[in-house]
Amino acid sequence: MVVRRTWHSLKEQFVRCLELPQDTLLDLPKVTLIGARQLQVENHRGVLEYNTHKIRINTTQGELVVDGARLRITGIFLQEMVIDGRINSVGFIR
Amino acid sequence: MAGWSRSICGTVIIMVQGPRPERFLNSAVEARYVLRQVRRVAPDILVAAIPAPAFRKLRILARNGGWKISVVQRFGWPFFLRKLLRRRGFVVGAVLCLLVIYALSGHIWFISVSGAVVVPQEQILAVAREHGLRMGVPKSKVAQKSLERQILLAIDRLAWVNVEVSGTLATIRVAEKEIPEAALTQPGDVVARCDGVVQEIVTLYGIPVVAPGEVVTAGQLLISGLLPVQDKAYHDKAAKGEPPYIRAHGVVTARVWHEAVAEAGLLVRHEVPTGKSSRRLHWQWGAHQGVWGAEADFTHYRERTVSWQPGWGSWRLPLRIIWETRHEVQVNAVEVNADEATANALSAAWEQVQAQLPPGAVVDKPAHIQMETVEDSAEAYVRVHIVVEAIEDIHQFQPITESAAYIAQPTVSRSSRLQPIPGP
Repeated sequence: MVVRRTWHSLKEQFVRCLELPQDTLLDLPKVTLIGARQLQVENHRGVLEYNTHKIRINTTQGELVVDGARLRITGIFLQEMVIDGRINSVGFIR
Repeated sequence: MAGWSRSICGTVIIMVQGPRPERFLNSAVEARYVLRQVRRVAPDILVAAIPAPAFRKLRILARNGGWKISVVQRFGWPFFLRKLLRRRGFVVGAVLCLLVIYALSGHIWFISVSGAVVVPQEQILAVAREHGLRMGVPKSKVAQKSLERQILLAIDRLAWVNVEVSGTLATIRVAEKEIPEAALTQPGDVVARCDGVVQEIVTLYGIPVVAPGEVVTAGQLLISGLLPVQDKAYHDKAAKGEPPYIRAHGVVTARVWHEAVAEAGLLVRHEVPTGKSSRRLHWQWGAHQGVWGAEADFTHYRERTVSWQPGWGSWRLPLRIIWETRHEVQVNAVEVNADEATANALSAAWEQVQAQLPPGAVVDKPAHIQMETVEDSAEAYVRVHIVVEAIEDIHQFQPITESAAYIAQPTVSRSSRLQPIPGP
């Protein structure tokens, strides 16, 4: 576990030092919000909970919680997910 | 996957039922299947769109996980084609229809001619027909360049021909030759257009045979185009075998009288529709004909007929149908003031006179107007008689005939004192 943390920290420093894209190399989730009507999540790890007013998505940084109304997953792929509906809030729970 | 490729592969809407359907979603994504339009319709039901080929594998995945999976709806070409194959008659009909349209579109069904003014269109179409361009002929059998040449050779009056086939329409565009009017070079005399008293005669070509002050009648010779024997041009033309005639030309001003008579009734009839009408249908098939419907018993009526002959293009069936509609009217007679009737008659008479006057005519004296009220057994009316004296050009060209051209030179007694004016 310690080795993994050290390795991750080194990797983070390397990426920052060389100004490389963090989402690709560190496997971080990339969340793009278009207005309050569409949300695009890249590098997700699956859906934990899904209903029309709340979607919980698993990521490497913890849970991404999307609150809103008439929420709908318009497309779900291995790395990417697109959510439509009226989005009220987006936040991470660690 | 783009919309068109999804349509080609087919899409199915599936319903997944079971505890925690999110897990099914994750399993499907992990197995690299794409799910679209995912909706949670109930706590244990999930609806999603998947590509049709993925359904069987997803069903296995769902069964292994304890979910119940079913198809709600199908879209796309595979399902449409499957449905079509069940209706073979429809498919055969559609294919036949396409084949017929394809076969018919390879033929010419309409032919139009443009640019022909003097040459009749029928003549151009007849030549085109003779050389293979007719209704229903395959487009491949129309040799456009050859057809253009044949039409040009057949009709002298044409200077240019273009045949263009566009779809099922063949357009023959032509340009005609600008031929100088034969009438402008044709020899002949100048004669009087109407009766009158000659005021002035200006001869440009030919020999004048009347003098100012003479009374002439319509058709009387005014300027002769016949050359005198002593003229050199006479012998020149004779040597060439041409008639010794030139085209006489000049201006002959004469005093001419025009008269007109018009009447206006003292009773004016107005037709008022009563609202009753009747309709009859006449049919005619070749020499046979008949009528459907009874004849209306109207004393006064207005009649309107519409004729229809079915056909295709210029071809017509020998059947003609005529709808005859009669609208009954009531005739009301209204008395008109005598002054008003006179004014109406006068106006009508002036209109007649104006129609008689040629362009450039000058009316230099007041018109002679005579009015009278006539009463016969039927009704009374006002009659107006107008006589107008005008000065106008009465010359009219009259071409000579071949036989008349060779007659002996006439003795021009009256014009012998006048000097002949040679032609061009």
